[in-house]
Amino acid sequence: MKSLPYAWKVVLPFLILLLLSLVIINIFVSTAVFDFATQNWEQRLLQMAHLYADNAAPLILKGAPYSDVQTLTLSQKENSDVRVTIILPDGTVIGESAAPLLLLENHLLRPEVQAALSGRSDTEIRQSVTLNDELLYAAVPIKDGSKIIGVARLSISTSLLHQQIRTITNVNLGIMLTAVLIAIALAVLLTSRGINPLRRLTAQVQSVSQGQELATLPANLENDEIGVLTTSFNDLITRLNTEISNLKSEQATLDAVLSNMTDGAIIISREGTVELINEAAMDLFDVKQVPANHPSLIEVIRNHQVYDLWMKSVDSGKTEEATLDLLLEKRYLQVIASSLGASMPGATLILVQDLTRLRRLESIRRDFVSNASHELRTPLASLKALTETAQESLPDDPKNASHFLFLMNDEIDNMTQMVEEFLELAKIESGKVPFNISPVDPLTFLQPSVERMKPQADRAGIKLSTGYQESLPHVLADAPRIQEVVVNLLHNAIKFTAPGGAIMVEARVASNMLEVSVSDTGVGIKPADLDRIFERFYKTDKARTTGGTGLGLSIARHTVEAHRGKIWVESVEGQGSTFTFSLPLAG
Amino acid sequence: MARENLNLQIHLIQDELLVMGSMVEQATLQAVQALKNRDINAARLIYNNDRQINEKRYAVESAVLILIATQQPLAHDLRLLAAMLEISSELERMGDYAKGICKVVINLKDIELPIPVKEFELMAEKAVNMFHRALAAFVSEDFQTARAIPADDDQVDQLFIQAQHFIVHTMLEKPAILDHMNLLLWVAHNLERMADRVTNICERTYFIATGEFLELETEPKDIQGD
Repeated sequence: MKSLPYAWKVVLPFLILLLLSLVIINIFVSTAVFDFATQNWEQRLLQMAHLYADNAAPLILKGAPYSDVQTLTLSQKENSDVRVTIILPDGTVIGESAAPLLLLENHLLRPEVQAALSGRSDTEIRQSVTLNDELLYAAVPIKDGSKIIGVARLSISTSLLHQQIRTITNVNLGIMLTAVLIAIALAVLLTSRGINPLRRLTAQVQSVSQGQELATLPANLENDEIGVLTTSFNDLITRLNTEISNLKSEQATLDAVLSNMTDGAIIISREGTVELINEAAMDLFDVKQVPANHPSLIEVIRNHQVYDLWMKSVDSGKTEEATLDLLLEKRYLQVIASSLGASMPGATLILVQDLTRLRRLESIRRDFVSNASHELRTPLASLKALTETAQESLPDDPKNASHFLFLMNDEIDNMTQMVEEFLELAKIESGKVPFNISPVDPLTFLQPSVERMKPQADRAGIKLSTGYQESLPHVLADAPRIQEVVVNLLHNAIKFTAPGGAIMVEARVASNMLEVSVSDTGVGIKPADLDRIFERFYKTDKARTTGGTGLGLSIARHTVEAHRGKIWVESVEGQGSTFTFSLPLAG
Repeated sequence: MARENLNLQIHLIQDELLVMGSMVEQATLQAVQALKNRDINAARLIYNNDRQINEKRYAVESAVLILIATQQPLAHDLRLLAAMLEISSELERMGDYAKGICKVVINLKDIELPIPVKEFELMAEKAVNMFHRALAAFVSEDFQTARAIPADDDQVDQLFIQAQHFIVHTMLEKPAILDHMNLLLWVAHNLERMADRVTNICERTYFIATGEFLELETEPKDIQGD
């Protein structure tokens, strides 16, 4: 139900009070006026009755005919509303101004007549039988000395009185109506003057609260209640705006942190719904989109291990940890679930860390240790065998023993070279090797390499040829180091190419780089091995029959990368391989 | 109030199904991994974990039955609950397929034999992927996705044929390991069946969402039925 407007709430009680008092006054006044008017008329009628009594007395005494008396009564024309009746003591009407005499009954029993006959002047209001109207009667005795010889009675219709009173009442009502109207008008005027600013304020506050931003209200400079209220509102709005902008910036910071952190973060409410999930978490679990309407954890992260971990953390109230091996996504994750405690009771924070890379590095390190041990064990085992054999045969066969010593020396050389390569690789990898990079003619490292490896190639029955121009642009390189790379590539090419094969060394300029390639017609490399060939100790030949440490290409890669170049391989299994590295041109 | 409670209960059962689904996915992928690495210990572990999947299945079943008995769900809710019963048993069967693969790994012991690892891995990945999406479609009642998923079964079937050819050829070449190669045929079969079961889930989803039954089976071309 709509409540009454405020103005009416104020005006209505006053209006009712006003009306009530006016009505009471009116009733009081009309009663008083009626009484007053009646008395007034009674006086006048009595005076007139005395006059008629005095006039009628001689006529009655001398026994004048009724017609004379009738004439007397009718002579009263100045006030035609007044009815005059002359009655004898026996009740016979001898003069009547309002009706023919013959029709009149005996008036002896009329109360006012009785009163007059007993010597009193009296007035009476009652229904007239003759005129069928309510009349005010005034009767006085007609006296001859002290003897009552008749009654003079005057009467007037009360309707005349009532009419007069109605006139007064009407005037009263008019005044009352005017007063009420004025009161309403005043009330409306005054309250609206009081309320309009309030209405304006309400409208402004409404529009402010519907708006996008909380704008302050137009200033109200008046120092009244409304003005104070407006100022208070503006203070409130200013404070709210400050709080909101603080919250927004906090939110933005939090969002930025959450969306940019590499760890996944998920917040789960007490009810088990996902309240927040950052992009990292979505990426790590391959979540394409989060279902709407407060999805449960398992609906978003479809992994029962995360779900179990969450349950475990909720049950224990402690921080729980687990590692997940996602086979499909090929990821290795660490998941930590911890209760958010008092700040969000019952809620759980799940942090997800991607350990895939870490685990890969760990496995590479493990491989390195096992590979290095393996590589060292082989020459050590043969040394052991040679030593044992030498021990047995040394006293008997000195000549043969020297042969063993020769072989042992070879093995020791092998090991020394291997250990040196380890150290070299370790130095290059840790960036401790100083590279003396300067503009050099590529021929300074290409020519010596080819010349050095030519005899080996000839011995293996392989044709080693060059396919580069004599004048190549200078490159930024440490010539001896790059020469080692080229030698290493040639060495590998010779090792994996059958007699009768061919090796070609080429060099060409391609987009600010000099690309040097070594192609062979050897056994080639399996596609599966192509990616891993530059790894330490990686050998395509698992049986390790061909010797070598498996470190050469790894060293070559690190050396080339230290020159800001790249090294790569293309190969077709059974047809040959092409190793290419690039070096930046000088200038 | 009672209705909200019913919805909440249905939601909780749905979550249980998703948990169970994740267990099945993991078991399948791990089983193939165990076969690839010939890791008998891992295979035993997965084999024993199948018990948990079975327990979940009974938990889901009894929760559904209690809901039907106490809440008297109608129309859509009833269809949904019936589908949950069906799907929980499908999941249990799929878990058994993974268990079957582990059994093969255990029975093969250390015997050297060529395994079509690539095909198996791809089959498992594709089947799990289909299954993953099918469960998501079931939960969200996305009947259009549910309708599209079974088409991917063709790829699994293709891989199945490749694996089968490889195994049969090896059998012909090396009759000595025929018995063991036969076990690998079971692995292929299990993976292929798993993908087929996804189709059943999709049909159920379509039924819940539309009230219509739709035969989504994409009939494999030259594979004998099981």
